[in-house]
Amino acid sequence: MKFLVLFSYLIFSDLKAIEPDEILDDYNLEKIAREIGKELRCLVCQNEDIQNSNADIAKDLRKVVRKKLTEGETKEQIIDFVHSKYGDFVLFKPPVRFDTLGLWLLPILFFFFLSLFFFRKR
Amino acid sequence: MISEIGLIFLILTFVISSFSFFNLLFVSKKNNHTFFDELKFSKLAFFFTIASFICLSYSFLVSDFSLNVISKNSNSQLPLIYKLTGVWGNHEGSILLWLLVMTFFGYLFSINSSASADFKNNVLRIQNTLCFLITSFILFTSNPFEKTFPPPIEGADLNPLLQDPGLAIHPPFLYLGYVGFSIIYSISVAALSEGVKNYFIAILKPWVFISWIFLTCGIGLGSWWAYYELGWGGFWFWDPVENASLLPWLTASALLHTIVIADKKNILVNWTILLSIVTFILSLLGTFLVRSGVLVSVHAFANDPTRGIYILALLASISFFGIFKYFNNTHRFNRPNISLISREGMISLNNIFMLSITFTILIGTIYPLFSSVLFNSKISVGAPFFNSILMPIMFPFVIGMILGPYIKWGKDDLILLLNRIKVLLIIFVLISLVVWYLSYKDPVLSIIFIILGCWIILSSVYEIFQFVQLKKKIPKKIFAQVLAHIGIGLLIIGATGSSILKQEKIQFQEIGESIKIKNFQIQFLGVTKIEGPNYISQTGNFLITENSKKLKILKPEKRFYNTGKQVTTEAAIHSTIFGDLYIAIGDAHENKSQWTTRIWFNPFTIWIWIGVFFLAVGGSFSFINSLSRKR
Repeated sequence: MKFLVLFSYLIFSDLKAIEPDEILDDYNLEKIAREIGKELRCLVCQNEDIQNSNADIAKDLRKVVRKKLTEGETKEQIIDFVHSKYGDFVLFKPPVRFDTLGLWLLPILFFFFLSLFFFRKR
Repeated sequence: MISEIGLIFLILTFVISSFSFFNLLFVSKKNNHTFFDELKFSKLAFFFTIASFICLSYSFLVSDFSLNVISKNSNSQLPLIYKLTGVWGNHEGSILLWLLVMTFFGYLFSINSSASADFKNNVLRIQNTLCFLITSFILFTSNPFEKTFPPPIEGADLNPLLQDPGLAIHPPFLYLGYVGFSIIYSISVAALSEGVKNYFIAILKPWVFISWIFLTCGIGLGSWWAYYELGWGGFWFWDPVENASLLPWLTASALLHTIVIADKKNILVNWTILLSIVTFILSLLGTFLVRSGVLVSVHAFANDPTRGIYILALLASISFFGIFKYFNNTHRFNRPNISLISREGMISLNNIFMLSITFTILIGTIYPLFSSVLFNSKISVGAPFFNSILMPIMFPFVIGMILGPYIKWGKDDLILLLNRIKVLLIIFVLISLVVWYLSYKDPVLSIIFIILGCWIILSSVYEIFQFVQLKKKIPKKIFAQVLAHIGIGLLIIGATGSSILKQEKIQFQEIGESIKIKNFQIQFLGVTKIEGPNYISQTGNFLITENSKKLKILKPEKRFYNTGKQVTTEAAIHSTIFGDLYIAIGDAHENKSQWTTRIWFNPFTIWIWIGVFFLAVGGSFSFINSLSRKR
């Protein structure tokens, strides 16, 4: 019987996202944990944040985030910690740097270029 | 046997369309059309392609596992409907569907357009050349009729995620939109060779609207599927594949606006032609990104480099040809002389915003690829990036959208304008107060967006009201604009509700236990095991009570597919106009007395799909209008 339970757990362990036992009792802390969760990428998934991923690494990261939150760390500190550990790939919003300058600047430059094209007085 | 016939038909398409290709490349423009009758070529190409497509569909229906694609993507246990939709549930078949739609649009143009026979010939020569390029891609890299030997007795399965009505039906819609833009490209490039006049714009118009309507429906269906199938109540994920479909939609939406002034006022005509070309290039780029797999993982490219490189070569040559024709035939950038406070100024503003959004999404989607090649740095770009750039744009965009329809052509005055719509402004203040009073506890962002959504809807309704007040007949084009704008308003409200305002309850729910969310009591009655045609389902039964009145039993499922050993979640949704009650069931715990259940209340979500419906209906009015004007 015990084997069956374990067996069913193994097949049915296709969990989706956060589990009930991970959720913090403190409503406000949990809210911050969610905000952090949406900023971090699940490293082994195609395009999922850790909040909504069912991969083990995402689950571990969710736990780390919550543990650190209950220890009193801020959102920025926790994101910095995860960033330093896993590199740029983990951030869904890349930092502004030389190699990401194009990403942040080109859309703005494009906007000004188009505005000039349409509205500059002849 | 049938599959060999299908292959022969495909080769015939190749041969016929190759005439157009050589005609375009080597024969001078002023030939007589007795031999190179492109109208006839279009008809034949369409006939051969549909025959080939029918042969492939038939092979899928009878489960002919001697074909490689069928043995890999179908199964004899599969329900009949999914055997059929499985035709485009794989790379090879979906590209054949792409070709079918392309030849279909060529054929439709040959029999329907009001263009002169000469111009038709020029357009179809380009359209048939496009068909030739796609056919060569199919035959040389993605042949659906490829045999496998020895044929297996049973096929692998169609991906269970694709075994769903929403997903099964949305690719044809998407393709009718995506590929419909090919005829817009062909018309534009042909028009360039003859010197752009707004006579061509009138020809172009109906094709822009019809393709846009299909693409809108396709994207709507796709996000509806994601909402109920992926099991956690999201509907848009900024996934590269989604972005790829959004890019041409955005430029086509910009095009919808400029084509009106190009047609009517003969301004921004060149710009309209350029947008048409860019829209099809973005459709192709989307196909390249999705089909080559470069975005999902750089390694997918290496698995089958010929396909990726072939599409890249097609993309490059088609883009180059279009852009080259543009710059060769228009005399420099003809900068318009437009003042901001005028109808054409507002339409230009719309284009500036739409294209900036397009460009941002394009950069965000392909930048990780660039930075890994150029700087050897692996970065991710996701929802937080897109939100942080696009949110600030939303506010001025929506204000322009509200004022635009009330601003006069040529030049208008801001003070006079505000005076004209003072009643509307008072209504705006009132509705803002009402929304704020009802939801002051919610996040500020959600209050702002819901107020903006209400403003759009009310300003559109007020437009109609003005016509009714003056007892004037409402023109179709006004009706179209109003419906489409209301659609956007509804979409903003729906998206805000279901993203910012959603409430959730996630727990280990015991059988018999009740959970309260909003006014609903959700009692867990237990789980039954149900056998589907090719899967086993764990179906949860939840009794929904609203204000102590029994409503219904919701049955979310978890399905275990027999052949592929894959699991899918099927959420159960109770939709109301105020929000969706959304239940998904997870795993069993404690000897099956407890189950993980996820219950959400997603406010206003249904308005997203109603908004998409309004957009499509609005587009249809424009389409009908553009047809009737010609006669």
